Amino acid sequence: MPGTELYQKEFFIKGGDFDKAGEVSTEIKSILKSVGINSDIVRKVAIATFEAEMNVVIHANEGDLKFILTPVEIRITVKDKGKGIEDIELAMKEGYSTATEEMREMGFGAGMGLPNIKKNADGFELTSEVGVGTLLKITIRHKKA
Amino acid sequence: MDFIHSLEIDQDKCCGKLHCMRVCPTHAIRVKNGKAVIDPVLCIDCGDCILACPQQAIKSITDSMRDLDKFKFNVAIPSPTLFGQFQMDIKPNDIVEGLITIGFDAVHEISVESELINMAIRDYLDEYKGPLPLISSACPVVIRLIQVAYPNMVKQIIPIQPPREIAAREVKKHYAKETGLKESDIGVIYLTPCPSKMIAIKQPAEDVKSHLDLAIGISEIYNPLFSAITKGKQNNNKVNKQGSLHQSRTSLSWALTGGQSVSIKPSRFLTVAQMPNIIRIFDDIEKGKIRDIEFLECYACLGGCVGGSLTVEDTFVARSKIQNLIASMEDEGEKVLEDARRKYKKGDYYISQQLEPRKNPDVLVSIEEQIIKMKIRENLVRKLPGIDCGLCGAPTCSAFAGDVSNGKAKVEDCVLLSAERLKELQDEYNTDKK
Ligand SMILES: Nc1ncnc2c1ncn2[C@@H]1O[C@H](COP(=O)(O)OP(=O)(O)OP(=O)(O)O)[C@@H](O)[C@H]1O
Ligand code: SF4
Ligand SMILES: [Mg+2]
Repeated sequence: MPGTELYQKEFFIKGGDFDKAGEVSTEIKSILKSVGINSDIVRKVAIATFEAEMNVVIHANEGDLKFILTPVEIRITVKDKGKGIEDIELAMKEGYSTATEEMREMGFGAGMGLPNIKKNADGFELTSEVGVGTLLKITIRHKKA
Repeated sequence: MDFIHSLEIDQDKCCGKLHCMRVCPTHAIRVKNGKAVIDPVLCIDCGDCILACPQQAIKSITDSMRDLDKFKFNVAIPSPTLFGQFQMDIKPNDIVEGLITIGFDAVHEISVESELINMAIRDYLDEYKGPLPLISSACPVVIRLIQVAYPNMVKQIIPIQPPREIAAREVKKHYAKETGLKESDIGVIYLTPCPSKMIAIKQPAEDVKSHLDLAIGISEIYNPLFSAITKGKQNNNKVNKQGSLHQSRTSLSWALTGGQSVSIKPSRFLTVAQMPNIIRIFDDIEKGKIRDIEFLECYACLGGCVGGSLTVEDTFVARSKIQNLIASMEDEGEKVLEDARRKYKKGDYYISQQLEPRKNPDVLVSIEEQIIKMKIRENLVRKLPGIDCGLCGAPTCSAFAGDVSNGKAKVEDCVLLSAERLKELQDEYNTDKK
Protein backbone atom coordinates (compact mmCIF):
# COMPACT_ATOMS: atom_id res chain seq x y z
CA MET A 1 0.00 0.00 0.00
CA PRO A 2 1.42 3.37 -1.01
CA GLY A 3 0.15 5.08 2.12
CA THR A 4 1.84 2.77 4.64
CA GLU A 5 4.33 4.43 6.86
CA LEU A 6 7.70 2.78 6.70
CA TYR A 7 9.22 5.16 9.15
CA GLN A 8 8.35 8.28 11.06
CA LYS A 9 10.05 10.64 13.42
CA GLU A 10 9.15 13.85 15.21
CA PHE A 11 11.41 16.77 15.97
CA PHE A 12 11.03 19.83 18.16
CA ILE A 13 12.14 23.21 16.83
CA LYS A 14 12.77 26.09 19.20
CA GLY A 15 12.15 29.63 17.95
CA GLY A 16 15.12 31.99 18.04
CA ASP A 17 17.64 29.19 18.65
CA PHE A 18 20.21 29.91 15.95
CA ASP A 19 22.79 27.57 17.46
CA LYS A 20 20.70 24.50 16.79
CA ALA A 21 19.07 25.83 13.64
CA GLY A 22 19.50 23.42 10.76
CA GLU A 23 19.97 20.31 12.92
CA VAL A 24 16.59 18.86 12.09
CA SER A 25 17.07 19.11 8.35
CA THR A 26 20.57 17.70 8.71
CA GLU A 27 19.23 14.67 10.53
CA ILE A 28 16.47 14.10 8.00
CA LYS A 29 19.00 14.38 5.22
CA SER A 30 21.20 11.75 6.78
CA ILE A 31 18.26 9.40 7.36
CA LEU A 32 17.30 9.66 3.70
CA LYS A 33 20.87 9.19 2.54
CA SER A 34 21.33 6.15 4.70
CA VAL A 35 18.21 4.43 3.40
CA GLY A 36 19.42 4.96 -0.12
CA ILE A 37 16.94 7.56 -1.41
CA ASN A 38 18.02 9.02 -4.74
CA SER A 39 20.35 11.96 -4.25
CA ASP A 40 18.27 14.45 -6.26
CA ILE A 41 15.32 13.72 -3.98
CA VAL A 42 17.47 14.05 -0.87
CA ARG A 43 18.53 17.45 -2.10
CA LYS A 44 14.94 18.61 -2.55
CA VAL A 45 13.92 17.39 0.88
CA ALA A 46 17.00 18.91 2.51
CA ILE A 47 16.33 22.32 1.01
CA ALA A 48 12.62 22.27 1.82
CA THR A 49 13.04 21.11 5.42
CA PHE A 50 15.87 23.53 6.05
CA GLU A 51 13.74 26.46 4.89
CA ALA A 52 10.72 25.27 6.87
CA GLU A 53 12.85 24.77 9.97
CA MET A 54 14.40 28.22 9.59
CA ASN A 55 11.02 29.84 9.23
CA VAL A 56 10.06 28.48 12.64
CA VAL A 57 13.38 29.59 14.14
CA ILE A 58 13.07 33.08 12.65
CA HIS A 59 9.36 33.82 12.56
CA ALA A 60 7.73 31.67 15.29
CA ASN A 61 8.07 30.74 18.97
CA GLU A 62 8.28 26.97 18.68
CA GLY A 63 7.19 24.16 16.43
CA ASP A 64 7.10 20.45 15.68
CA LEU A 65 8.30 18.83 12.52
CA LYS A 66 6.92 15.43 11.63
CA PHE A 67 8.74 13.34 9.09
CA ILE A 68 7.07 10.35 7.43
CA LEU A 69 8.55 8.02 4.87
CA THR A 70 6.24 5.80 2.80
CA PRO A 71 7.18 3.51 -0.07
CA VAL A 72 6.41 6.29 -2.55
CA GLU A 73 6.79 9.63 -0.83
CA ILE A 74 8.22 11.73 1.96
CA ARG A 75 5.78 13.79 4.02
CA ILE A 76 6.89 16.71 6.10
CA THR A 77 4.47 18.52 8.39
CA VAL A 78 5.59 21.57 10.32
CA LYS A 79 3.23 23.00 12.88
CA ASP A 80 4.24 26.03 14.86
CA LYS A 81 2.99 28.34 17.57
CA GLY A 82 3.69 31.92 16.72
CA LYS A 83 2.50 35.07 15.13
CA GLY A 84 1.15 33.38 12.01
CA ILE A 85 1.01 34.75 8.49
CA GLU A 86 -1.51 37.43 7.64
CA ASP A 87 -1.41 37.29 3.85
CA ILE A 88 -0.25 33.93 2.54
CA GLU A 89 -0.28 35.00 -1.09
CA LEU A 90 2.03 37.87 -0.26
CA ALA A 91 4.29 35.66 1.87
CA MET A 92 4.68 33.31 -1.08
CA LYS A 93 6.05 36.08 -3.31
CA GLU A 94 9.76 35.82 -4.08
CA GLY A 95 11.59 38.54 -2.22
CA TYR A 96 8.86 39.27 0.31
CA SER A 97 10.17 39.16 3.86
CA THR A 98 9.44 40.63 7.25
CA ALA A 99 12.81 39.54 8.67
CA THR A 100 14.59 42.11 10.82
CA GLU A 101 17.83 43.83 9.90
CA GLU A 102 19.64 41.62 12.41
CA MET A 103 18.43 38.45 10.72
CA ARG A 104 19.35 39.80 7.33
CA GLU A 105 22.87 40.30 8.57
CA MET A 106 22.97 36.59 9.38
CA GLY A 107 22.04 35.84 5.79
CA PHE A 108 18.33 35.22 6.22
CA GLY A 109 15.41 37.26 5.02
CA ALA A 110 15.88 37.09 1.27
CA GLY A 111 12.20 36.19 1.06
CA MET A 112 13.09 33.05 -0.89
CA GLY A 113 12.26 30.37 1.69
CA LEU A 114 8.60 29.65 0.99
CA PRO A 115 8.96 29.93 -2.81
CA ASN A 116 11.90 27.51 -2.61
CA ILE A 117 9.93 25.02 -0.56
CA LYS A 118 7.13 25.12 -3.09
CA LYS A 119 9.54 24.73 -6.00
CA ASN A 120 11.07 21.60 -4.45
CA ALA A 121 7.86 19.95 -3.31
CA ASP A 122 5.29 17.90 -5.22
CA GLY A 123 2.52 18.72 -2.75
CA PHE A 124 2.40 22.02 -0.86
CA GLU A 125 -0.23 23.24 1.61
CA LEU A 126 0.18 26.30 3.81
CA THR A 127 -2.42 27.46 6.31
CA SER A 128 -2.08 29.95 9.12
CA GLU A 129 -3.99 31.75 11.81
CA VAL A 130 -2.73 35.13 12.94
CA GLY A 131 -1.68 35.10 16.56
CA VAL A 132 -1.95 31.31 16.79
CA GLY A 133 0.43 29.66 14.38
CA THR A 134 1.19 28.18 11.00
CA LEU A 135 0.80 24.74 9.47
CA LEU A 136 2.89 23.66 6.50
CA LYS A 137 2.38 20.31 4.80
CA ILE A 138 4.59 19.16 2.01
CA THR A 139 5.10 15.91 0.16
CA ILE A 140 7.96 14.92 -2.09
CA ARG A 141 7.68 11.75 -4.16
CA HIS A 142 10.70 9.49 -4.24
CA LYS A 143 9.24 6.82 -6.46
CA LYS A 144 7.24 7.26 -9.59
CA ALA A 145 3.61 6.42 -8.90
CA MET B 1 34.49 -1.98 -8.65
CA ASP B 2 37.87 -2.08 -6.91
CA PHE B 3 39.32 1.22 -5.83
CA ILE B 4 43.05 1.83 -5.95
CA HIS B 5 44.60 3.79 -3.11
CA SER B 6 47.93 5.34 -2.30
CA LEU B 7 47.84 4.60 1.40
CA GLU B 8 49.40 1.59 2.98
CA ILE B 9 49.31 0.60 6.63
CA ASP B 10 52.39 -1.20 7.87
CA GLN B 11 50.79 -4.00 9.89
CA ASP B 12 53.93 -4.49 11.99
CA LYS B 13 54.16 -0.86 13.03
CA CYS B 14 50.44 -0.32 13.59
CA CYS B 15 49.46 -0.80 17.21
CA GLY B 16 45.85 0.28 17.03
CA LYS B 17 46.09 3.63 18.79
CA LEU B 18 42.93 4.90 17.04
CA HIS B 19 44.34 8.30 16.03
CA CYS B 20 43.85 7.63 12.32
CA MET B 21 40.31 6.39 12.86
CA ARG B 22 39.37 9.58 14.69
CA VAL B 23 40.59 11.99 11.99
CA CYS B 24 39.30 10.16 8.93
CA PRO B 25 36.73 12.52 7.36
CA THR B 26 34.70 9.76 5.71
CA HIS B 27 34.86 7.31 8.64
CA ALA B 28 36.69 4.84 6.42
CA ILE B 29 38.91 3.40 9.16
CA ARG B 30 38.09 0.73 11.71
CA VAL B 31 40.43 -0.86 14.24
CA LYS B 32 39.97 -4.61 14.43
CA ASN B 33 42.09 -6.86 16.62
CA GLY B 34 44.41 -3.99 17.38
CA LYS B 35 45.11 -3.08 13.74
CA ALA B 36 43.72 -0.32 11.57
CA VAL B 37 41.87 -1.31 8.41
CA ILE B 38 40.82 1.08 5.64
CA ASP B 39 37.57 0.59 3.73
CA PRO B 40 38.53 1.08 0.08
CA VAL B 41 35.05 2.28 -0.89
CA LEU B 42 35.11 5.14 1.59
CA CYS B 43 38.81 6.17 1.47
CA ILE B 44 39.34 9.37 -0.51
CA ASP B 45 43.15 9.47 -0.24
CA CYS B 46 43.28 12.71 1.71
CA GLY B 47 46.20 11.43 3.77
CA ASP B 48 44.97 12.96 7.05
CA CYS B 49 45.59 9.57 8.70
CA ILE B 50 49.28 9.67 7.72
CA LEU B 51 49.83 12.79 9.78
CA ALA B 52 47.71 11.53 12.66
CA CYS B 53 49.54 8.23 13.16
CA PRO B 54 51.89 8.39 16.17
CA GLN B 55 53.72 5.26 14.92
CA GLN B 56 54.34 6.52 11.39
CA ALA B 57 52.74 3.29 10.30
CA ILE B 58 50.84 4.74 7.36
CA LYS B 59 52.66 5.80 4.28
CA SER B 60 51.72 6.80 0.80
CA ILE B 61 53.23 5.09 -2.15
CA THR B 62 53.98 6.82 -5.42
CA ASP B 63 56.03 5.72 -8.41
CA SER B 64 59.80 6.12 -8.32
CA MET B 65 62.61 7.12 -10.68
CA ARG B 66 63.25 3.42 -11.32
CA ASP B 67 59.92 3.23 -13.13
CA LEU B 68 61.34 5.45 -15.88
CA ASP B 69 62.98 2.29 -17.25
CA LYS B 70 59.58 1.23 -18.55
CA PHE B 71 59.83 3.84 -21.29
CA LYS B 72 62.33 4.83 -23.96
CA PHE B 73 61.77 8.57 -23.64
CA ASN B 74 60.56 10.28 -20.46
CA VAL B 75 58.87 13.65 -20.21
CA ALA B 76 58.36 15.26 -16.80
CA ILE B 77 55.32 17.45 -16.17
CA PRO B 78 56.05 19.22 -12.89
CA SER B 79 53.26 20.39 -10.66
CA PRO B 80 53.67 24.18 -10.39
CA THR B 81 54.25 23.69 -6.66
CA LEU B 82 57.73 22.42 -7.56
CA PHE B 83 58.80 25.96 -8.43
CA GLY B 84 58.20 27.06 -4.83
CA GLN B 85 60.32 24.34 -3.24
CA PHE B 86 63.77 25.88 -3.52
CA GLN B 87 65.64 28.96 -2.35
CA MET B 88 64.86 32.09 -4.35
CA ASP B 89 68.09 32.15 -6.38
CA ILE B 90 67.11 28.82 -7.95
CA LYS B 91 64.98 29.91 -10.89
CA PRO B 92 62.42 27.84 -12.81
CA ASN B 93 64.95 27.38 -15.64
CA ASP B 94 67.49 25.94 -13.19
CA ILE B 95 64.88 23.46 -11.99
CA VAL B 96 64.17 22.35 -15.54
CA GLU B 97 67.92 21.87 -16.11
CA GLY B 98 68.11 19.84 -12.92
CA LEU B 99 65.26 17.56 -14.00
CA ILE B 100 67.07 16.78 -17.24
CA THR B 101 70.26 16.05 -15.31
CA ILE B 102 68.57 13.54 -13.02
CA GLY B 103 67.22 11.53 -15.91
CA PHE B 104 64.26 13.05 -17.72
CA ASP B 105 64.59 13.49 -21.46
CA ALA B 106 62.33 16.52 -21.58
CA VAL B 107 60.31 18.75 -19.29
CA HIS B 108 56.92 20.24 -20.07
CA GLU B 109 55.65 23.13 -17.99
CA ILE B 110 51.87 23.60 -17.95
CA SER B 111 51.44 27.35 -18.32
CA VAL B 112 49.71 27.23 -21.69
CA GLU B 113 47.41 24.40 -20.60
CA SER B 114 46.50 26.26 -17.43
CA GLU B 115 45.41 29.20 -19.57
CA LEU B 116 43.37 26.87 -21.78
CA ILE B 117 41.64 25.33 -18.79
CA ASN B 118 41.12 28.79 -17.34
CA MET B 119 39.26 29.78 -20.51
CA ALA B 120 37.32 26.51 -20.58
CA ILE B 121 36.12 26.98 -16.99
CA ARG B 122 35.21 30.59 -17.71
CA ASP B 123 33.07 29.48 -20.67
CA TYR B 124 31.49 26.72 -18.59
CA LEU B 125 30.56 29.15 -15.83
CA ASP B 126 29.00 31.53 -18.35
CA GLU B 127 26.78 28.89 -19.90
CA TYR B 128 25.88 26.81 -16.83
CA LYS B 129 22.27 26.94 -15.65
CA GLY B 130 22.06 24.32 -12.85
CA PRO B 131 22.32 24.62 -9.07
CA LEU B 132 25.15 26.71 -7.63
CA PRO B 133 27.87 26.84 -6.52
CA LEU B 134 29.98 25.17 -9.16
CA ILE B 135 32.86 23.37 -7.52
CA SER B 136 36.41 23.39 -8.81
CA SER B 137 37.76 19.98 -9.77
CA ALA B 138 41.35 20.95 -8.96
CA CYS B 139 41.74 18.75 -5.88
CA PRO B 140 41.09 15.03 -6.42
CA VAL B 141 40.40 14.55 -2.70
CA VAL B 142 37.50 16.98 -2.93
CA ILE B 143 36.05 15.21 -5.97
CA ARG B 144 36.21 11.91 -4.11
CA LEU B 145 34.73 13.37 -0.95
CA ILE B 146 31.74 14.50 -3.00
CA GLN B 147 31.43 11.12 -4.72
CA VAL B 148 31.48 9.32 -1.38
CA ALA B 149 29.60 11.60 1.00
CA TYR B 150 27.73 14.26 -1.03
CA PRO B 151 26.32 12.32 -3.98
CA ASN B 152 23.78 15.00 -4.82
CA MET B 153 26.54 17.53 -5.38
CA VAL B 154 28.40 15.49 -8.00
CA LYS B 155 26.71 17.45 -10.79
CA GLN B 156 28.14 20.67 -9.36
CA ILE B 157 31.74 19.60 -9.96
CA ILE B 158 33.12 21.38 -13.02
CA PRO B 159 33.58 18.56 -15.56
CA ILE B 160 36.75 19.93 -17.07
CA GLN B 161 40.10 18.15 -17.13
CA PRO B 162 43.10 19.44 -15.22
CA PRO B 163 45.89 21.17 -17.16
CA ARG B 164 48.25 18.20 -16.64
CA GLU B 165 45.94 15.88 -18.58
CA ILE B 166 45.59 18.23 -21.54
CA ALA B 167 49.36 18.67 -21.50
CA ALA B 168 50.05 14.93 -21.37
CA ARG B 169 47.73 14.30 -24.30
CA GLU B 170 49.68 16.73 -26.51
CA VAL B 171 53.13 15.90 -25.16
CA LYS B 172 52.80 12.23 -26.06
CA LYS B 173 51.89 13.00 -29.65
CA HIS B 174 54.54 15.67 -29.94
CA TYR B 175 57.47 13.58 -28.73
CA ALA B 176 56.37 10.45 -30.57
CA LYS B 177 56.61 12.46 -33.76
CA GLU B 178 59.86 14.14 -32.83
CA THR B 179 61.66 10.95 -31.77
CA GLY B 180 60.03 8.51 -34.16
CA LEU B 181 59.09 6.30 -31.21
CA LYS B 182 55.68 4.77 -30.59
CA GLU B 183 53.41 6.73 -28.25
CA SER B 184 53.54 3.81 -25.83
CA ASP B 185 57.32 4.23 -25.55
CA ILE B 186 56.96 7.83 -24.42
CA GLY B 187 56.53 8.04 -20.65
CA VAL B 188 54.73 11.11 -19.35
CA ILE B 189 55.39 11.59 -15.67
CA TYR B 190 53.67 13.99 -13.31
CA LEU B 191 55.75 15.33 -10.43
CA THR B 192 53.09 15.41 -7.77
CA PRO B 193 52.65 17.34 -4.52
CA CYS B 194 50.29 14.72 -3.09
CA PRO B 195 49.29 11.07 -3.28
CA SER B 196 45.77 11.98 -4.36
CA LYS B 197 46.93 13.32 -7.72
CA MET B 198 48.73 10.06 -8.26
CA ILE B 199 45.47 8.22 -7.64
CA ALA B 200 43.75 10.65 -10.02
CA ILE B 201 46.23 9.40 -12.64
CA LYS B 202 46.03 5.68 -11.80
CA GLN B 203 42.24 5.72 -11.49
CA PRO B 204 40.56 8.94 -12.62
CA ALA B 205 37.34 9.73 -10.72
CA GLU B 206 35.34 9.56 -13.95
CA ASP B 207 36.57 6.01 -14.59
CA VAL B 208 38.59 6.50 -17.78
CA LYS B 209 42.29 6.18 -18.54
CA SER B 210 44.66 9.04 -17.78
CA HIS B 211 47.04 10.41 -20.42
CA LEU B 212 49.79 10.36 -17.81
CA ASP B 213 51.77 7.19 -17.16
CA LEU B 214 53.38 7.75 -13.78
CA ALA B 215 53.32 10.07 -10.81
CA ILE B 216 56.41 10.63 -8.71
CA GLY B 217 56.22 12.52 -5.43
CA ILE B 218 58.19 15.76 -5.25
CA SER B 219 59.77 14.58 -1.98
CA GLU B 220 61.01 11.45 -3.78
CA ILE B 221 63.15 13.44 -6.26
CA TYR B 222 63.92 16.43 -4.08
CA ASN B 223 67.40 15.47 -2.87
CA PRO B 224 68.88 14.33 -6.19
CA LEU B 225 67.23 17.27 -7.92
CA PHE B 226 68.58 19.79 -5.44
CA SER B 227 72.13 18.52 -5.73
CA ALA B 228 71.89 18.39 -9.54
CA ILE B 229 70.73 22.01 -9.56
CA THR B 230 73.51 23.24 -7.29
CA LYS B 231 76.19 21.37 -9.23
CA GLY B 232 74.74 22.54 -12.52
CA LYS B 233 74.80 26.15 -11.39
CA GLN B 234 78.46 25.87 -10.29
CA ASN B 235 79.57 24.43 -13.61
CA ASN B 236 77.20 26.58 -15.62
CA ASN B 237 75.91 23.47 -17.39
CA LYS B 238 73.32 23.70 -20.14
CA VAL B 239 71.79 20.31 -20.66
CA ASN B 240 68.33 21.47 -21.61
CA LYS B 241 68.04 21.98 -25.34
CA GLN B 242 64.45 23.20 -25.18
CA GLY B 243 65.36 26.82 -24.52
CA SER B 244 64.12 28.90 -21.65
CA LEU B 245 60.72 28.57 -20.01
CA HIS B 246 57.82 30.85 -20.73
CA GLN B 247 55.48 31.00 -17.78
CA SER B 248 52.35 32.94 -17.02
CA ARG B 249 50.85 33.80 -13.68
CA THR B 250 47.96 31.39 -13.93
CA SER B 251 49.71 28.05 -13.55
CA LEU B 252 51.81 29.26 -10.62
CA SER B 253 48.90 30.86 -8.82
CA TRP B 254 46.88 27.65 -9.10
CA ALA B 255 49.28 26.12 -6.58
CA LEU B 256 47.78 28.46 -3.97
CA THR B 257 44.34 28.73 -2.39
CA GLY B 258 42.34 31.40 -4.16
CA GLY B 259 44.51 31.15 -7.28
CA GLN B 260 41.74 29.85 -9.49
CA SER B 261 39.25 32.43 -8.34
CA VAL B 262 41.71 35.22 -9.10
CA SER B 263 42.31 34.06 -12.66
CA ILE B 264 38.84 32.76 -13.52
CA LYS B 265 37.13 35.83 -12.03
CA PRO B 266 33.74 34.38 -11.12
CA SER B 267 31.17 36.90 -9.92
CA ARG B 268 31.14 35.55 -6.33
CA PHE B 269 33.56 32.97 -5.06
CA LEU B 270 34.55 31.17 -1.90
CA THR B 271 37.82 29.44 -1.08
CA VAL B 272 38.13 26.73 1.59
CA ALA B 273 40.97 24.49 2.68
CA GLN B 274 41.30 21.42 4.90
CA MET B 275 38.78 18.67 5.37
CA PRO B 276 36.83 19.82 8.47
CA ASN B 277 36.22 23.23 6.89
CA ILE B 278 35.26 21.74 3.55
CA ILE B 279 32.81 19.39 5.24
CA ARG B 280 31.19 22.26 7.12
CA ILE B 281 30.75 24.26 3.92
CA PHE B 282 29.44 21.23 1.99
CA ASP B 283 26.86 20.56 4.71
CA ASP B 284 25.69 24.14 4.37
CA ILE B 285 25.49 23.87 0.60
CA GLU B 286 23.44 20.70 0.86
CA LYS B 287 20.93 22.48 3.06
CA GLY B 288 20.73 25.35 0.63
CA LYS B 289 22.22 27.69 3.22
CA ILE B 290 24.86 28.96 0.81
CA ARG B 291 22.91 30.41 -2.03
CA ASP B 292 24.86 33.21 -3.52
CA ILE B 293 28.23 31.74 -4.45
CA GLU B 294 29.04 31.02 -8.09
CA PHE B 295 32.40 29.30 -7.75
CA LEU B 296 33.79 27.26 -4.90
CA GLU B 297 37.46 26.43 -4.71
CA CYS B 298 38.35 23.70 -2.19
CA TYR B 299 41.65 22.14 -1.30
CA ALA B 300 42.33 19.29 1.08
CA CYS B 301 45.63 20.89 2.03
CA LEU B 302 46.31 24.00 4.04
CA GLY B 303 47.19 26.83 1.66
CA GLY B 304 46.37 24.77 -1.44
CA CYS B 305 48.71 22.37 -3.24
CA VAL B 306 51.82 24.05 -1.79
CA GLY B 307 50.67 22.29 1.39
CA GLY B 308 50.57 18.85 -0.27
CA SER B 309 52.00 16.00 1.82
CA LEU B 310 54.67 15.15 -0.75
CA THR B 311 56.10 18.66 -0.91
CA VAL B 312 59.23 19.47 1.05
CA GLU B 313 59.17 23.21 1.74
CA ASP B 314 56.95 24.61 4.50
CA THR B 315 53.50 25.56 3.19
CA PHE B 316 53.76 29.23 4.07
CA VAL B 317 57.31 29.62 2.84
CA ALA B 318 56.43 27.90 -0.42
CA ARG B 319 53.46 30.20 -0.80
CA SER B 320 55.64 33.24 -0.39
CA LYS B 321 58.12 31.91 -2.95
CA ILE B 322 55.41 31.33 -5.53
CA GLN B 323 54.02 34.78 -4.88
CA ASN B 324 57.49 36.23 -5.33
CA LEU B 325 57.93 34.38 -8.59
CA ILE B 326 54.63 35.76 -9.83
CA ALA B 327 55.51 39.28 -8.72
CA SER B 328 58.90 39.16 -10.40
CA MET B 329 57.48 38.23 -13.81
CA GLU B 330 58.23 40.90 -16.35
CA ASP B 331 54.84 40.81 -17.99
CA GLU B 332 51.57 38.89 -17.70
CA GLY B 333 53.15 36.08 -19.71
CA GLU B 334 52.06 37.54 -23.04
CA LYS B 335 53.73 34.81 -25.06
CA VAL B 336 51.88 32.11 -23.15
CA LEU B 337 48.55 33.92 -23.37
CA GLU B 338 48.95 34.42 -27.11
CA ASP B 339 49.78 30.75 -27.56
CA ALA B 340 46.75 29.73 -25.53
CA ARG B 341 44.37 32.03 -27.40
CA ARG B 342 45.59 30.58 -30.68
CA LYS B 343 45.18 26.96 -29.51
CA TYR B 344 41.90 27.27 -27.63
CA LYS B 345 39.16 25.03 -28.97
CA LYS B 346 35.91 25.56 -27.14
CA GLY B 347 34.42 22.31 -25.86
CA ASP B 348 37.67 20.34 -26.18
CA TYR B 349 38.47 20.06 -22.48
CA TYR B 350 35.59 18.20 -20.91
CA ILE B 351 36.23 14.98 -19.03
CA SER B 352 35.25 12.17 -21.35
CA GLN B 353 32.79 10.48 -19.02
CA GLN B 354 30.32 11.82 -16.46
CA LEU B 355 31.26 11.75 -12.79
CA GLU B 356 29.08 9.44 -10.74
CA PRO B 357 28.61 9.02 -6.98
CA ARG B 358 30.53 6.10 -5.51
CA LYS B 359 28.21 3.20 -4.85
CA ASN B 360 28.44 1.86 -1.33
CA PRO B 361 27.46 -1.83 -1.33
CA ASP B 362 25.91 -1.36 2.13
CA VAL B 363 23.12 0.82 0.74
CA LEU B 364 22.45 -1.21 -2.40
CA VAL B 365 19.44 -2.99 -0.94
CA SER B 366 15.75 -2.01 -0.99
CA ILE B 367 14.42 0.91 1.03
CA GLU B 368 12.43 -1.52 3.17
CA GLU B 369 15.60 -3.41 4.14
CA GLN B 370 17.42 -0.16 4.77
CA ILE B 371 14.70 0.90 7.15
CA ILE B 372 15.02 -2.32 9.11
CA LYS B 373 18.73 -1.62 9.40
CA MET B 374 18.03 1.94 10.44
CA LYS B 375 15.71 0.80 13.20
CA ILE B 376 18.42 -1.54 14.49
CA ARG B 377 20.79 1.42 14.43
CA GLU B 378 18.43 3.71 16.26
CA ASN B 379 17.66 1.17 18.97
CA LEU B 380 21.32 0.54 19.53
CA VAL B 381 22.25 4.22 19.54
CA ARG B 382 19.76 4.70 22.37
CA LYS B 383 21.65 2.11 24.43
CA LEU B 384 25.08 3.47 23.64
CA PRO B 385 26.65 6.18 25.80
CA GLY B 386 27.42 8.55 22.92
CA ILE B 387 30.91 9.28 24.19
CA ASP B 388 32.59 8.13 20.99
CA CYS B 389 35.49 6.50 22.85
CA GLY B 390 36.39 4.41 19.85
CA LEU B 391 37.24 1.28 21.82
CA CYS B 392 34.73 -0.75 19.85
CA GLY B 393 36.93 -0.03 16.85
CA ALA B 394 34.56 2.43 15.19
CA PRO B 395 35.06 6.21 15.21
CA THR B 396 31.72 7.11 16.81
CA CYS B 397 28.92 5.35 18.65
CA SER B 398 26.64 5.92 15.70
CA ALA B 399 29.19 4.60 13.22
CA PHE B 400 29.43 1.54 15.46
CA ALA B 401 25.64 1.13 15.39
CA GLY B 402 25.84 1.37 11.60
CA ASP B 403 28.47 -1.37 11.52
CA VAL B 404 26.28 -3.60 13.68
CA SER B 405 23.28 -3.04 11.39
CA ASN B 406 25.43 -3.95 8.40
CA GLY B 407 26.65 -7.11 10.11
CA LYS B 408 30.20 -5.80 10.37
CA ALA B 409 30.39 -5.62 14.16
CA LYS B 410 28.78 -7.23 17.18
CA VAL B 411 26.89 -5.37 19.93
CA GLU B 412 29.33 -6.91 22.44
CA ASP B 413 32.21 -4.99 20.86
CA CYS B 414 31.15 -1.99 22.96
CA VAL B 415 33.17 -1.90 26.19
CA LEU B 416 30.25 -0.47 28.12
CA LEU B 417 27.91 -3.23 27.06
CA SER B 418 30.38 -6.04 27.61
CA ALA B 419 32.84 -6.50 30.47
CA GLU B 420 34.52 -9.26 28.52
CA ARG B 421 35.37 -6.90 25.72
CA LEU B 422 37.01 -4.56 28.20
CA LYS B 423 39.11 -7.42 29.57
CA GLU B 424 40.06 -8.38 26.04
CA LEU B 425 41.22 -4.86 25.30
CA GLN B 426 43.22 -4.69 28.52
CA ASP B 427 45.12 -7.73 27.34
CA GLU B 428 45.43 -6.45 23.81
CA TYR B 429 46.85 -3.09 24.85
CA ASN B 430 48.84 -4.60 27.71
CA THR B 431 47.60 -2.01 30.15
CA ASP B 432 48.62 -3.85 33.32
CA LYS B 433 52.18 -4.48 32.16
CA LYS B 434 52.96 -0.78 31.74
N1 LIG C 1 6.33 29.97 10.26
C1 LIG C 1 6.06 31.26 10.03
N2 LIG C 1 5.46 32.01 10.98
C2 LIG C 1 5.19 33.32 10.76
N3 LIG C 1 5.50 33.97 9.63
C3 LIG C 1 6.12 33.28 8.65
C4 LIG C 1 6.43 31.90 8.79
N4 LIG C 1 7.00 31.48 7.63
C5 LIG C 1 7.07 32.53 6.82
N5 LIG C 1 6.52 33.63 7.41
C6 LIG C 1 6.35 34.97 6.81
O1 LIG C 1 6.47 34.87 5.40
C7 LIG C 1 7.55 35.67 4.94
C8 LIG C 1 8.21 35.01 3.77
O2 LIG C 1 8.82 33.78 4.17
P1 LIG C 1 10.06 33.21 3.37
O3 LIG C 1 10.51 31.98 4.03
O4 LIG C 1 9.69 33.14 1.94
O5 LIG C 1 11.14 34.37 3.51
P2 LIG C 1 12.01 34.77 4.79
O6 LIG C 1 11.94 33.71 5.82
O7 LIG C 1 11.62 36.12 5.21
O8 LIG C 1 13.45 34.85 4.15
P3 LIG C 1 14.38 33.60 3.73
O9 LIG C 1 13.55 32.38 3.87
O10 LIG C 1 14.77 33.88 2.32
O11 LIG C 1 15.51 33.63 4.68
C9 LIG C 1 8.43 35.85 6.14
O12 LIG C 1 9.22 37.00 6.06
C10 LIG C 1 7.41 35.93 7.27
O13 LIG C 1 6.84 37.21 7.33
S1 SF4 D 1 45.02 20.41 -2.20
FE1 SF4 D 1 46.42 18.81 -1.46
S2 SF4 D 1 45.39 16.87 -1.90
FE2 SF4 D 1 44.32 18.44 -3.08
S3 SF4 D 1 45.35 18.36 -5.08
FE3 SF4 D 1 46.40 19.94 -3.90
S4 SF4 D 1 48.13 18.93 -2.93
FE4 SF4 D 1 46.70 17.33 -3.66
MG1 LIG E 1 12.31 31.70 5.33
